[in-house]
Amino acid sequence: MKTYKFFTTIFSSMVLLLAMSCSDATDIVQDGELNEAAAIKDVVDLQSALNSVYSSYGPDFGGNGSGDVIYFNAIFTDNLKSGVANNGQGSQAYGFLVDISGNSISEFLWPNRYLTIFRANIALNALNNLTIESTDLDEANHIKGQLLALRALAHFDLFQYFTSDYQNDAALSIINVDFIPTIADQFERNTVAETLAFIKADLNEAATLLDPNNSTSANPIFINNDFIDALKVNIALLEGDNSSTIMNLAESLLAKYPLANQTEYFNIFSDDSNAEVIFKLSRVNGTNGIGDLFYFNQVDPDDAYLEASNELYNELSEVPNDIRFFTNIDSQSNFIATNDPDNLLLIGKYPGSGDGLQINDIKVMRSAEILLIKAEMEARNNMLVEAATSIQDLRTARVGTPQPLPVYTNLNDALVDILKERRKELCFEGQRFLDLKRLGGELNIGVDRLSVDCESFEAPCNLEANNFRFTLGIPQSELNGNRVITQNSGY
Amino acid sequence: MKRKFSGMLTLFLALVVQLTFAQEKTISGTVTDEIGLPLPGTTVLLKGTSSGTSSDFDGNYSIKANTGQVLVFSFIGYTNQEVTVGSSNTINIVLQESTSSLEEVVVTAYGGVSTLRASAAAVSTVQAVILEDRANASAIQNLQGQVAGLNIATGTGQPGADSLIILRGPGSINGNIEPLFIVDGIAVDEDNFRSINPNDIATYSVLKDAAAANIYGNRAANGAIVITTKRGNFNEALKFQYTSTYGYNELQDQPFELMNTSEILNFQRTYDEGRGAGLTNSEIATIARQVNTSWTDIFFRKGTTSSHDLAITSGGENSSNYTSLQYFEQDGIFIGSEFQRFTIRNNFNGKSSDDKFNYSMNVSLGFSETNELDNAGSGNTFFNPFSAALQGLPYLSPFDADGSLTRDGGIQPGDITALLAAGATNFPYVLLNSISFNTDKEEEIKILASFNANWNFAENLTAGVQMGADLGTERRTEILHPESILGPFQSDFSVDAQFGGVQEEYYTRDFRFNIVNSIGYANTFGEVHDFDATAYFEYVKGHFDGFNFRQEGIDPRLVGTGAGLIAGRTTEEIDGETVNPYIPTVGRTDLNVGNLSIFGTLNYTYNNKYGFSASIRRDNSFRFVEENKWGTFYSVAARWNIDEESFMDNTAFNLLKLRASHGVSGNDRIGSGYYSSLDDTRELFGTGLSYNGSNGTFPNQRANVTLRWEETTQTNIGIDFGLWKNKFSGAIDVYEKTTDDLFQSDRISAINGQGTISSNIGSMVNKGIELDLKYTIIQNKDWNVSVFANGSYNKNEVEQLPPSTDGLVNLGGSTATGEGEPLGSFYLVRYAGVNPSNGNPLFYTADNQLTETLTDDDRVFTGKSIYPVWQGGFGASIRYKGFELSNQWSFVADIYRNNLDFADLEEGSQGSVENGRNRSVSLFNAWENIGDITHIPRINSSLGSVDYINQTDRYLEDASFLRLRNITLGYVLPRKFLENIPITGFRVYVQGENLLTFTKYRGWDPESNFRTTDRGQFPTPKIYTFGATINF
Repeated sequence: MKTYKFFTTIFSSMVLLLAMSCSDATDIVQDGELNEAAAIKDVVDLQSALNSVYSSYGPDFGGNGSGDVIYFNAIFTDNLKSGVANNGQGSQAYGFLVDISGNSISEFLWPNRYLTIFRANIALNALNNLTIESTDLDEANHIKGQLLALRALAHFDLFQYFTSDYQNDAALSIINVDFIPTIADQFERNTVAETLAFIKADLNEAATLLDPNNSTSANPIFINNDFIDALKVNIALLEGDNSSTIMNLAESLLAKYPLANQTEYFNIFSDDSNAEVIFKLSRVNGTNGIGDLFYFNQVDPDDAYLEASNELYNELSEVPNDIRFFTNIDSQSNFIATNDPDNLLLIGKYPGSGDGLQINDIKVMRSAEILLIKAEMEARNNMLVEAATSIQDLRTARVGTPQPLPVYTNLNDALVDILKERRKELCFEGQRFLDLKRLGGELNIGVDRLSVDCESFEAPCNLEANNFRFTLGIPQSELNGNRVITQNSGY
Repeated sequence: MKRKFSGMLTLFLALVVQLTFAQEKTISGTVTDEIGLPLPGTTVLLKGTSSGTSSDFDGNYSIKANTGQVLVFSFIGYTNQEVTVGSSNTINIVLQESTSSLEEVVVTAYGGVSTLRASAAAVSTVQAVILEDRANASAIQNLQGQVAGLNIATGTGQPGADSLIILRGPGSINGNIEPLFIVDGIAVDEDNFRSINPNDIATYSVLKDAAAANIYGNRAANGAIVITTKRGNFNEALKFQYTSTYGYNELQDQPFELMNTSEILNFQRTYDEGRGAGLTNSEIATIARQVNTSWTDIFFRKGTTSSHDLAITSGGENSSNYTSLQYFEQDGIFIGSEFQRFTIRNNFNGKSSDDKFNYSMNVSLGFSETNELDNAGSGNTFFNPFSAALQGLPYLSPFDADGSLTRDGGIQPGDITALLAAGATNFPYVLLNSISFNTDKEEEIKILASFNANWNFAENLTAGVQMGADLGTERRTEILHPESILGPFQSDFSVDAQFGGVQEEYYTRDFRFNIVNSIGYANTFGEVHDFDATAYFEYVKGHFDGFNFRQEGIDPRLVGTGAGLIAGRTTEEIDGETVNPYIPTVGRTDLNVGNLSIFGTLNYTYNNKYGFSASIRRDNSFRFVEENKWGTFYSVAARWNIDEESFMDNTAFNLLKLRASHGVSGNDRIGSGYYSSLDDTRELFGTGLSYNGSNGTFPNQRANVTLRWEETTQTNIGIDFGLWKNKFSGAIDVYEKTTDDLFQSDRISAINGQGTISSNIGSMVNKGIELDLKYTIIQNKDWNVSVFANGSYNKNEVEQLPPSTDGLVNLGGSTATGEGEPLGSFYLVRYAGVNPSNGNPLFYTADNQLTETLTDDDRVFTGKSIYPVWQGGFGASIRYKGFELSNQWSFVADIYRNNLDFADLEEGSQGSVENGRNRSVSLFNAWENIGDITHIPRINSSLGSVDYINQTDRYLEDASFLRLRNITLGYVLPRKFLENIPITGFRVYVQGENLLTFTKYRGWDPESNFRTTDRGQFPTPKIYTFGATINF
C-alpha cells in the first residue's frame, strides 16, 4: 500500500501542476507581435513608417505578364510587341481583354494605392497620438508633409485611371480616405469635385509642413515642395486650368530643373544622373526590379518577353541623333529592316544599375514632363508659337543640335504634335495610356498599332478613341468587399 | 463482463496467468491453429483456479492436473476450448479462429479498447499485419484503399513524402481538412510519417463519426486515425523476428506519344522555326539517325529499395517489452531522389501483480535523410526537372564526345546565350547539370515518446494519466553549386560577381506535447446494467522554432562547408561601384500553440443488447478573443445488438448491430497548418527592408475579433453485421457532415490596405455512404480464400458563401468556389473545338453560343471537382498450405484535373514553335487548311497552353483510376524443414506495388494530392520487392 500512496502523491501533484500552468495554453501571444503603441513611439519610428509608405507605392510593380501602371501603359497601347522569349506574357492585355479580376491592371492599381493611403493614414494617426518634443517638431512636420503628399499622389493616380471625365465635377471618381477605416466600412466613390478638392487640400497642407532645409529636400528620392508644385501643375492640366498662376508655377519649376543634356539624359535612366528629376522612387538591391516587366533575367537578346514596337522604333528613329532612341532601344537590338517581323527591339530604358541587373529608380516626375504640360497649356491658351517653342526646346535638348520650330496652324495640330512628343519622351514611364485617354479622346486618336506589331501577338491592332476601356473598371475584389460602390460603365 | 476496467486492462487480463505447482499428473501436448501452425503463448488454465501455463514457441505445453479437471485453452483471436482431463496424458488442441476475432477489437479514444460488438461508433480498424510486406517509405500510404471513406492521396514519387489525407470529404475551405493522427496516445504531425517505421505499427483505427472522434475534440473535426504500435505479451519468452527486403522501383507506364527527332524537325520545318527550319529531308534524316534521345529515360532510372528489420519481444510476469530496429533505404525513380531511414523503438508495459496498476512507455527514435528535387509543378524552365524529362528535345544528344552521359551539354557556367538560345532549348542539360552538382537534402530526427498509467485505486474507480511528446527536428540544406551552369547567376550582380552559387539552410524544431488526466467510475448493477463514466482534463502545447540563412556566393573549393560561405563584408568593384555582393540573409521563426480541454464520457449498456454513450467537452483556443475562446461540443450514440434478440435465434447472423450517432466538433485551425493563423484577432505591425534600403514599419494585419470556432455537425447511421460465424461480415454507414461558420477569406474594401480577412462565414456539407464487406469463401486446413471490398460515395456541396461573394469566389484560377457546387469545382469556359474556316479555337459562351473570344464572362461551373466522389478498394487473398497470394486494388472516380503537361506538349501558340520543347505527335492533327475538321487549333493561333489551362476546359481531364495497389506472393516454410535448426519460422515473399493502372488520364500519373493542375510533377513509382522473414 505504500506504493499506492506514492502513486497518489504523483497523480495529485500532476493534476495540481497542470491546473497551475494552464494559462500558458490559453493566452498565447506570439513572439514579434507589434501593436501600434509599440511600433510607433517617436519621430524615428515615424520616419520608419514613412519609409514603408514610400515603399508601398508601386507604379513599377509586376512582372511575367502583369503589372501596375508602367506595365499597363505599355502593354495596352502601341509601344510594345511580343518578345523573342515570350510564352504568353501579356497576350491578354495586349488583345485589349481588360478584365477586372485576376492579374488585371485594376487589381494591381486599386489595392496598391489604397494600401499606400492606408499606411499613410496609419502613420498620420500615430503621429497625432504622439507627443512630439519641440526639438523634433520640424522633423515631425516634414514627415507629416511627405505623408500627406504621398496620400495625395496615390489618390491622384486612382483619380486618373478610374474617372471617366476629369472635368465633370459631378462624375464619380474614387473613394477619398483620410481616416482609418473599420473592416466593415463600405463607401461609394466621391465625385470629381470632391476628390480634386481633397487632393489639393492635402497638397496645400503638405506644402506648409515640408521643410526646405531638411536634408531630404535636396534628394530627389524624397518628396519636396517642388514635387508638390509639379503635381499641382499636372492636376491643373487635367482640370483644364491653364491660368497664369499655374503657368508661372511651371515656369519656375523649369527654371529650377533645366532639361538634361544628352549625356545626362542617358545617365538619368541608369541612375547615374539626377538632371531634370523632380521626384523619383528609389529602388535598391532587395526592392522591386522594373526590368522584370519586360525581361526574365536581364536586358539580353534572348531574354526579352516583351520588346519595343516597330511603330515606336520608327518614331524614335525619325530624327537622327535623338538621344531618346539610344535610351529606349538597347544597343544589343537587332534591326533587320523597317517593320521586319524579325526585328529584335530591346527596351533599353531600364538597363539595370549597381543595385542589380533589373533594378532602376522610377522617375515619377521630370521637368521634361512639366515642359510638355506647359506646351499643352500654351496651345490651349491659343499661344501656338509659344507651344511650338516649348516643343522645339525639348527636341533641341534631346537631339543635341538646334531643331526647327514646329508650325502649328491650330490647336488640333499642336495637340497632335504634343501627343507624339510625349510618346517619345515618356514611353515606358506610365504615360501613354493616360495620354491616349486624355488627349487621344479629344483628338479622336485611339490605339493604332502597326500590323507587324499586333501580329506578333495575334492581337487586334486598333482600339478606337474614347472606348470605355480608357476608364478602368473598379476591381472585382472591391466590388465583392464593398457592396455600395458603383462600377464604371462598360464593365 | 462483471467488472469493467479500462479496455486495455481487459485485454491484458486475458493473458495473465498464475503459475502454481501441484502434485497431480502432468498433461502435455501441442496447441495449433486450424492450418496446423503452432500457437505459441496459448494460455492453459485449470478451470476455476488461477493455475495455468502457456505454450512455448512450438505450441507445446505441459501442466499438472487431476483427472476430471477442466483445462481451458485460450489465445487471443481464437475461440476458447475446454477439455476435461481424462486418462490420457497427452492432449493436443486445435483452436478455431474466433468469430469475435482480433479484427473485432476496436480501438477507441485515449487508448481504450472495445469490441466491435460493444461499440456504438463508426470505427474501421485495419490490422497492420496485412500491410507489413509493403514497400512504401511512408506508413500511411499503405492505407489507401483499405478503409471506406478514407483517401490517402499521394502526389509525388519522392520516397517518404507526405500524402494528403481526407476522411469523408473535405470538411473546411481554408482550415485544416486532414484527420488527427494519434500514435500510442500522442497527437503527431499529420504531415510527417517518413521517420516512423511502418513495421512497428500494430493497428490503424479510423475514427469516422462524431461518437468516435469527438473525444479528441478540437483537433478531430475531420475524424481521427489512431495508430497503436506492437507490444510484447506478459509471460512470453524472448523472441526474435528478422526481416530483410530488396527490390526495385521504376516509372509506371506512360501515356505520352512524343515526337521523335525526325517528327519534331519536320514540325519545325513546316512552321519555319527552330532547328528544323529550312532543313532538307536528307539533313533531317541524318540528324534523326545520329540522335533520338528519350529524355525520360535519361532522367528516370530504376531505383532500389532495401530494408532490414529486427524485432525482439519478451515478457515476464509483470512486464513485457517490444524492441525494434529498422534500416530502410529507397532510391527514387528520378535521379537525385533518395531516402534513408533508421528507426529504433522500445515499447514497455508493466503492471502490479494484483493488476490494479499498469503502465506503459513507448519511445521511438527515427532518423531519416531525404535527397529530393525541388520545383515540381513550377513553370520555371531551368528549375523544374520533371518538365525537362518530358519536354526535352529528342535531337539533343545526352552524351559528351567521349560517349559518356553529359553533365553540362557543353555549356559553360554563366553562358547566358547558350542558356537562352533557341527558346532555351538547352534546358534539359541545365537540369541534368543542376541535379548532378546541387544539394537538396533534408535530415530529420523524430522522437515519439508516450507514457500511460492506469490505477484502479479503489473499488470501481480508475485514475489515468497519459503524456505524449512528438519532437521533430529537421535540417534542410540547399546548395546551388557555384560551378554549375546556373551558379554564376545567383548573386544580385549575376555573372559580374566573382563568386556564384547559393547555400540555404533551415533548421527547425517542432515539439508537441499533450497530457491527459482522467478519473473514471465503472460498475455493474443488477447483473445487466453496465455503467461507466470518465472525466478528463487535457493540456496541449506546441512549439515550433527555427532559423535559416541564405548565402549568395560560395567558394567553389569549399562547397558545403562553413568555410565556403563568402564573408558578407567582401567588397567588389562592379560597374565602377564598390558593392557587397555576398551579404547573407538570416531568419528566425518562433511559433507557439496551445489548447486546454475538459471533457467527460459516459457509457451505459443493458444486457449487452443496448448501449448508449455520450460525451461532452469544453475546449479553449488561444486563437480567439476572450468571449469566443471556449467552445462546447458533444456527441451521443446508441446501439442495438439485434442478434441478441430472441427472434434472431437460429438465423445466420452472429452479429447484427444497428448504431446511430450525432455530434458536434470544433475546429480552431483557421488556416490549414498546425502553426498557422495564430494572432488573427489582433491589429499588428511589421517591419522590414523598406524604401531606399532603410528599415520600414507598416501595419500588416487588420484584426477580426469576431473569429470563433468552426463547427462540424455529423450524423451517422450504421449497421455492422456478421453471418455464418463471420464468414461474411461487413458494415454500412450513411452520414451527413455539415460544417458551419466555415473559415474563409471574406472580401473587405481595399481601403483597409488588404482585400481579404479571415472570417467565419458560410457552410458546407458532405453526405455519403460507405460499405465494407469481407467474405471468406473457403476456410479449411489447407485452404483459405477470402475477398474484401470497400467503397464510398461522398457528395460535397458548398451551401453558403460570404454575402460579399454573390455566391462565387473566383480567384482567377481554373477552379472557383460556388454555392451549390462541390469544393474545388472547375469554373471554366467550355472549349468547343476549332473553327474549320480559320483554325481558331472556338468556345461556348455562358449561354451556349459559339465564340472565338475567350473572356471570363463565359465561365461556367463544369460540375467537375478536384475531389473524388467515388473511391474504394477491393482485393482477394488465397492461402494454400504455406502459400499465400493476395492482391489489393484501389480506385477513385469522378475526379478531375487540369493536364498542363499534355497541354504543353500541344503548345502551338504564336511564337511558341521554337520554345525549345518537344511535342506530342497529336499536334500533327492541328488545323492547316480551310475546312479541316480537327480538335487542335492552327499553329500560331493566339492562345497558349496556360491560357487554355487557366480559362478553358480543353485540358480538363477525368483523373479517375483503378490501380493494382499491391500484389504479394508469400510462402511459409513447413515446420518439418526447421526441426533441426534454431529457427522457428521462415517466410519468403515477393510483392509489387502499383503494377497496373487503368485510367483515361493522359499525364504522368493519375494519382495526386488533389491538386488542380499537373505540371512537371514527380510520378509515383512501381515497386517490386523480395523479402524474407525469420523467427527465432
